Parts: sequence; structure tokens; C-alpha cells
Amino acid sequence: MKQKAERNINGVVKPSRDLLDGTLGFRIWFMLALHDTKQRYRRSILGPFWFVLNNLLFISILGILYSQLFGEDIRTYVPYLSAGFITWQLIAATLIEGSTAMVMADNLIKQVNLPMSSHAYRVAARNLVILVHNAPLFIFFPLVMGVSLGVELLLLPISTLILFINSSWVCIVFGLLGARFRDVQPIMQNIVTISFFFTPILWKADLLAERAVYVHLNPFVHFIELFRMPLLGQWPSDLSLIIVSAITVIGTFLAWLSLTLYRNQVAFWI
Amino acid sequence: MANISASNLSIIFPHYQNYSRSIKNLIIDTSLGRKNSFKKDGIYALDDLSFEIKKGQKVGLVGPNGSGKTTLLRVLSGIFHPSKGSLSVQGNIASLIDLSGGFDQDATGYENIFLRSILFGQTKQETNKRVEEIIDFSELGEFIKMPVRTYSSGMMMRLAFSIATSVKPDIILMDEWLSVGDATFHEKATRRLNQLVEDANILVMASHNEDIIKNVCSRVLSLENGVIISDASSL
Repeated sequence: MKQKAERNINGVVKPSRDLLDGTLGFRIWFMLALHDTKQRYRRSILGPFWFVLNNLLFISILGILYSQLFGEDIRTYVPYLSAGFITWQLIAATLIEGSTAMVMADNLIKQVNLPMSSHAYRVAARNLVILVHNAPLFIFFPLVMGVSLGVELLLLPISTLILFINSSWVCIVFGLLGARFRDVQPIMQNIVTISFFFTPILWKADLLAERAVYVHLNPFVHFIELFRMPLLGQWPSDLSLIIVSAITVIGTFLAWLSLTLYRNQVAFWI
Repeated sequence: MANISASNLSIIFPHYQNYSRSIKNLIIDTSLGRKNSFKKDGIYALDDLSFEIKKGQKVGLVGPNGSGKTTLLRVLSGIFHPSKGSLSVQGNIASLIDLSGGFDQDATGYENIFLRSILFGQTKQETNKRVEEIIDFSELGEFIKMPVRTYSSGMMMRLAFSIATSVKPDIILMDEWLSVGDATFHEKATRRLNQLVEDANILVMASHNEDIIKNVCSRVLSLENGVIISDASSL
């Protein structure tokens, strides 16, 4: 007699419900994310603001130097750099930490039957907390440089939410992949290093002259634009909005699909 | 209502070589048209088990090392999912399988009480109500404000035991009868555990200790190589 493999504890837990269960169980992963943040800074007096101070110095110094090198106006270059760089930090951390989201949670996975997506949400949420710490810098540099900020700033909370959704599906998909294949994380590390230079963060796309159009093939650009354009007092282009929406929908579907297919295997993999 | 029922339950552990844990190898092999090296060859840790455990039964799992006792407990606790067959578990579960694992070493004992309780399904308010009782029982005193990293293994077990046994579950899963702490604590812990087991609707305990099985269990399942070889009311 062949039966479909299934498990039923008090009526819950189906692989296809994992994404939903994880989302609804936000209390758990949000607690873990805050706990992670606290742990990370336990031994430092400045706490998370160490990161902020670090960014403040880095962006100021690099901004002065590179605006000279590229012959850019410092008043537009520094806000451009700060918005791009801080957003990139979240993208980079998501890609690198996301691929170990399940592996690092092995202790928990072997002890408690939590939705697998909650381990991914935890990683996404703790990087979001860091982004929020950096939020003052987002505003600080444009203000100091005299950029006229306007109603476009209202987009930022939405941009943050969209970035979080995308960060979550990346952590789910690559977290599962990284649990099965242990060389995913070093590969992601390489991808992140290379992408940093290929993405217009330090440089502007128009420096590429007629080849600038190829920049749009880089998906990271459009997520960065979601933050950078409002901080330069402009709306992101329609193209960016369309590409980001498409990636959000496809990615979330991929996350649901990979959880449905592989969620129950993770405990055997780690 | 507490009830466990399994039909044709199998657990197949995927057996991966180092080679097949690399996605680079997978991509190279696939693009060269090589096949089979990534085909899963699994090990049956549990093989086609069917059983039912009803309310009131205290079940002992016996069998040699590697016979599947702990795997079965992990399936019941929801950590492993059936590779084949089906399993239905009704009732609140307390899993006393691996007590001291899962502590956050850098967090204080106090923080760990909250972390664990919430992870195991309690709310913050419920934990708030029980936290004093947990600290009292653990006899950790001022140490509760220190990172768990600084605890001796005995202290860690005392805290883990106090947290895990602070709720009243319908179903208790245990890997060996718990024996915690020095003489006085041990006595106190044993009393609490006995009470807990008595109050629970179902106990499933793996043990090598025949005396404990005889004392506690009303039903004994013998496992060997992932198969139930006998199901009796005593050893």
C-alpha cells in the first residue's frame, strides 16, 4: 500500500504552508533577530552605532576622494554614494548570510519543529534592523550636501518593505540550497565581491556612455535605485519599478516552491 | 485528547558523500552528461512502522544502538518528517530529548529561559508568569544573570530541566530517563519528573535501562534495524 508521506500534528504543518506559517509566526523570528542584533553588539559600548559611525567615516572620506577622481560634483556624488553603499550592504549581507540561514540554525532545526521559513526571516530581519540603524545616514548626507528632498521620501518605507520581502525569499531559496550544497556560501561570497564593482555604487552609469544600457541587466541596480532616487529627490524609473516587482513576485513564488519541495529534507541535510 | 498513530512510516536518511555536497560538482557533472553520481542512496532508519499509541500508555522503546529509537522520537517530535507513510500526533508535546543543546551560550540564563519557552510555543506573558518558578527550581540564584557559557555542565542541565519541565504536556518524549544534578537536586528532579510522567497522557521513552522500563512503562516496543520486532506489555 503506497501512501503519500504526510505528518499531522494538531492539524498543522504542510510543506506548502510553511511560507505562510513562517510569516504568521513573526513573533518568533523577530525575537530571534533582535536577539542576534543584541548578541552581535554585546561587548561594544557604541553597539550598533559602531556600524553607523564606520559608514559615516567611510562615505565621507571615499566621497571626497572619488568625487575628485571621477570629476563629479561632490554635492551630488556623496548622497549618491551613501544611498547606494548602505543599500548594497544589506544586499550583500543577505546574499552571504542567507546561504547559511538553515545551516546556522541547525541547533534549532534539530530541536523544534518551526516553519523552515522562520530561519530565513530571522536572517532577513536582523539585516533589516541594521539598515534601520543606518537610516539617519540616508538622510544626513543629502541634507548636508543641500539636496532638495521632497515627497519622494515617502517611497522609502515601501522600498524597505520590498527589500525585506526580497531579502526573505533570497534567504529561503539560498538557505535551502546552502543546506544541501555546502559550497554555495563561498560561491555567493565571490558573486557579491564581483557584483560590488559591476554595480554602479562607486561610479555612475553614465560614465559608461553608450554602454550604460547594459547596467539595467544587473538586477541589483534596480533595488538600489528604489532607495537612491528618492534620496536624490527623484522618482525611480518605471523600468526599475517593473523589474523589481517582477523579481519580487517570481522570487516569492520560488521560495514557496522550494519550501514545498524540500522543506522536509532540511533536517536530514544539516 | 492525546493520540499517536503511524501507518507504514519510513524514514530514509539521504546518504551523501562529500562529493555530492558540492553544487559545483553537480553543475559540472550535469553539463558533461554524467549521471547517477547524485542519485540518492538512502538508509532506512525506520522501515515501514505501523503502530498506535493511545491515551494513558507509557511506552518504552528498547533496542540496540542504531536501531532507530532516537530517530523515532525525533519523528514524533516533528523534527524529522516521514519519508514514506503517514503519522498523526495529537496533543501538546514536550520533547526532553536533547536538553542542553540549543542554549545560546552567550546569552544569560534569564534570556535563555525566554528564548526557549517562546521557541517551544509559549507566549512572553506566559513565560513571565513562570520565570520565577523556573529560576527557583533551578537553584541557580545569581548565576541566572550570567552567560550560559560560564555555567558548569551540571548547572546547564539544571536550567534546561527546569525550563523543559515547567509546562504540563499531553505527550512526553524522552531519550533515557533524565538524571540531573547532585544528590539533593536529583531527588527533587526525579520527583518532578515522576509527577510529570504520571500526569501526562502519553510517554514515549527510549532507554537501555531495564529497571526503569519495568518501573515506568506499560508497553514496550522493541526496535531492531528500524523495524518493530516485538510489541508487548512488558520486557
